[in-house]
Amino acid sequence: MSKFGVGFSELTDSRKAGAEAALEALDHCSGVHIHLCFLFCTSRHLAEEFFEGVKSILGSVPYIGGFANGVITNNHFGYDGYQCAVGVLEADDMTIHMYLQEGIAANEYETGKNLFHQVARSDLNEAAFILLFDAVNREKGYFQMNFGTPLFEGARSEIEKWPNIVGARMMGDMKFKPTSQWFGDRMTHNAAMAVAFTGNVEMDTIVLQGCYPASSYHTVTKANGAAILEIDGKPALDFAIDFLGPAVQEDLQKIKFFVTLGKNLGDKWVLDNTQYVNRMCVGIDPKQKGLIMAESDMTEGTEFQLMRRGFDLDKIEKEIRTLVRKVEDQGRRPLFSLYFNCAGRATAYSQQNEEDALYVQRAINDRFPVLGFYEAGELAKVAGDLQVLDWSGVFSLFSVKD
Amino acid sequence: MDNKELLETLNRYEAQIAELQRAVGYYSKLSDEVASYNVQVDSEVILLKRNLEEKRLGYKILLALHEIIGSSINIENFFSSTLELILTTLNMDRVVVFWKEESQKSVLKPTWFLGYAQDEVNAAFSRPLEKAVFENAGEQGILVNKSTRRNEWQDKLSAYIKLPFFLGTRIVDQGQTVGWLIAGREKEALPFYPPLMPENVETFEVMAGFIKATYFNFRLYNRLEQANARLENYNQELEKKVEERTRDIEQSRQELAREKDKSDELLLNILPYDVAEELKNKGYYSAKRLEEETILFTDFVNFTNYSEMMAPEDLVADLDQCFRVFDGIITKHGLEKIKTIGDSYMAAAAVDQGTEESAALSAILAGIEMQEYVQNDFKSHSAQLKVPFRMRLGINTGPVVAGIVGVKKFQYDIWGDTVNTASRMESYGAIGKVNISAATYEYVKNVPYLKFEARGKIEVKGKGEIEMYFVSVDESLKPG
Repeated sequence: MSKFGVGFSELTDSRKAGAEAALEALDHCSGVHIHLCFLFCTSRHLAEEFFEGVKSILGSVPYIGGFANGVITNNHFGYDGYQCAVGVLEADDMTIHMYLQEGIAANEYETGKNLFHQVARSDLNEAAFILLFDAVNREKGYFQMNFGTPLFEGARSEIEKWPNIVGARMMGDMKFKPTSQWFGDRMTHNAAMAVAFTGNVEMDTIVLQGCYPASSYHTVTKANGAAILEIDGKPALDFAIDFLGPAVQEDLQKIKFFVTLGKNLGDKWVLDNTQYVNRMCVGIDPKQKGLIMAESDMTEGTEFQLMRRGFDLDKIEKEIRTLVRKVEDQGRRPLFSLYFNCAGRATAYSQQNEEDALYVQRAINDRFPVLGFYEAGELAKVAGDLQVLDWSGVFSLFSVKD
Repeated sequence: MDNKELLETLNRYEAQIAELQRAVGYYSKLSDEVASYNVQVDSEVILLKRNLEEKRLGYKILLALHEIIGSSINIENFFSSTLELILTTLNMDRVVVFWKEESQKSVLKPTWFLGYAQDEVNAAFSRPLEKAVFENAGEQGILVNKSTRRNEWQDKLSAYIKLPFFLGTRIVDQGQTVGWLIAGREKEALPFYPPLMPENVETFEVMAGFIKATYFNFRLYNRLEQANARLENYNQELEKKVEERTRDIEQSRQELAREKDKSDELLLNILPYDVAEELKNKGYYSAKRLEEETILFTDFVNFTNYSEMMAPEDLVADLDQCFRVFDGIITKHGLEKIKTIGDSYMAAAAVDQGTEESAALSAILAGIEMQEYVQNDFKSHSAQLKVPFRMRLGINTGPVVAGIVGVKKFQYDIWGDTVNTASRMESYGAIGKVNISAATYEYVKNVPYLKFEARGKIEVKGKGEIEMYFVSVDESLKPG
């Protein structure tokens, strides 16, 4: 019978933290044969030491994971500190396929293409996929975001349609310090990696959006990569100043966290925020009067609305409970769940007074393990296509038939 | 519908469309204004909440610091927990405590820190920071954020601690700066990393006060602990010494006891037990009159002849062997050896000797055994002699005075007419016989297994007539 265990630690000693979390995770399994180990820790940890600590308990098993700004388990959650989490899977009647492609900082498109070239060769249309990739590109000595949009384009050049897939763009802190990832039995950097599950396992996902539309539709009339240069024919920065009022000119940097834009991929005149892809503004370019977005998908002609950040915590709990009930009604046993949570949604950085992680834990109520982490972009399918989502939570439930 | 009607309809629709477009424009503008307002309010709420959160964290960290102070077991543990608290609660990237070195009071050295990789520590903290940096970076506290117009000293400090934005506060003891608490962030970005503000410095000032108090409490505690440890060591050493000394004393006492035993043994070899005890206890022995003492004398007949026939060494050896046997015999019968004079052996038996036999009987039985030894065993031993050893033995009973004479090589002795008469009993005895006086006879005449041969009254030189008896044992009557 398949089993999954999760462990947590906040020790400052990276090696001990890894060992402590792995030990706790192992407690929930028989420990006979671990088929996969997820591992995440914040950038305050020493990546190598943390990995060694986990390996000191689990030995030579397939690993997949990387830095996160924080982690969530059934009984703990936290961010910005020394949090780390380990999840171990004992897979019965299930096959695990793992893929790695390094070099995302050099070329996202090629990385996506090469990664999914491997996937395409495996013919895993029915598999449940988790895609993780490094958010931080410091190849030039300063921070640049690795974008999902070209990565996905590269991937789509190799596959006919997106499989059942979720994932995350990983970073270790809100300052985007250099990152590390772990794959197989080694450490890696600038990596995009995927793990696919086939056999007796199914993955059901809900996207818990964190924004809702607030304005009328506007159109990107000029863009360059992740920079929106014109909106409705006006310089994007001027548009933002007009929109937000002249007071914002005192500190233009404020714009970058005031502005979230949303693309409605569903019916334009139906108010359904699940069909939106929200995009955070992460910087301004005063010289070109542009807005720098967290992804490069706000291309010319894109219609968008300004979004308000906010979400109904009770709704999170209710939707997860509904999903679990649905799965159980189909005669499947929830094995474990993953929760990819936007780091910005944490109460320390939003107007929320309570952590959504708390409501996820409450919905699960310890009935099955949850392994979650805070990161720089949640990956899920919206309107049939894989998207990088901002300010959302993606909850995936893995279930088996016993 | 004719053309006119068609045109009117078209105009009406165009007017409606224009109206609808105006409405769309109106509602678009309205919704954008509402959106603008909402977004700004949301953002301001976030900023306000963030500021409140910063303040709340200020209180939270002080509360947590209290808990750390209460639970820390040593200074290293205290600083490790405190620095972790500063990093995680105030969301700092690095924190360092500069402290005055004990040896170099004027040098502030990075002593406790967190958030630095090992290579950064090696590179950054291997050289000391100029003393003037702290004197010029900020008088009381330092606050360097994006809006700060930095001076060169703050730049130097920033480079040293590898933090672009930081705050610091002095740690003061009795008016003297003993250290600096400095923490900071690598980035300043709303809302994640808001600029460090004067309120943060205030929080740090309170923390610095706690840190100072805790440090000196720990130091005091450590000193007390050290003093206790020293005292404990001293006590242990003392106990060890006392133990060693006790062992030495015990050894000495045992040696002393052994020596005393030897000495007692020696003393008992030359003195009767009671006499020895009195001598030990009082340091002297008072001469005593003993009313019923039986005295035994032996003497080898013609000893001078033997001495001429034998080498002196052999003679002494033979005599020694014989007297050793005598010693054994008299000890067995409870007699006390008094002395030997040349080849003569003198012993005495007191009435309170503690044996079942009477003193007189003991002396007689000892005398008989001594004669038997000389005649049988010792004769064979002296077989090489043409003339065997022969011995006279006499016994008398009566009062004597017992005492010790002299200080050096003192000797216990007995005096009185009884002693002289006993000597005469020996002189007037016969070879191989035990000759007793009438006085002794009176004590033993009723002993059934003794045979007496009355010799009648014999004139003794200087004493007149003395009635004498030879005495022997009738083995057939002697109880087994």
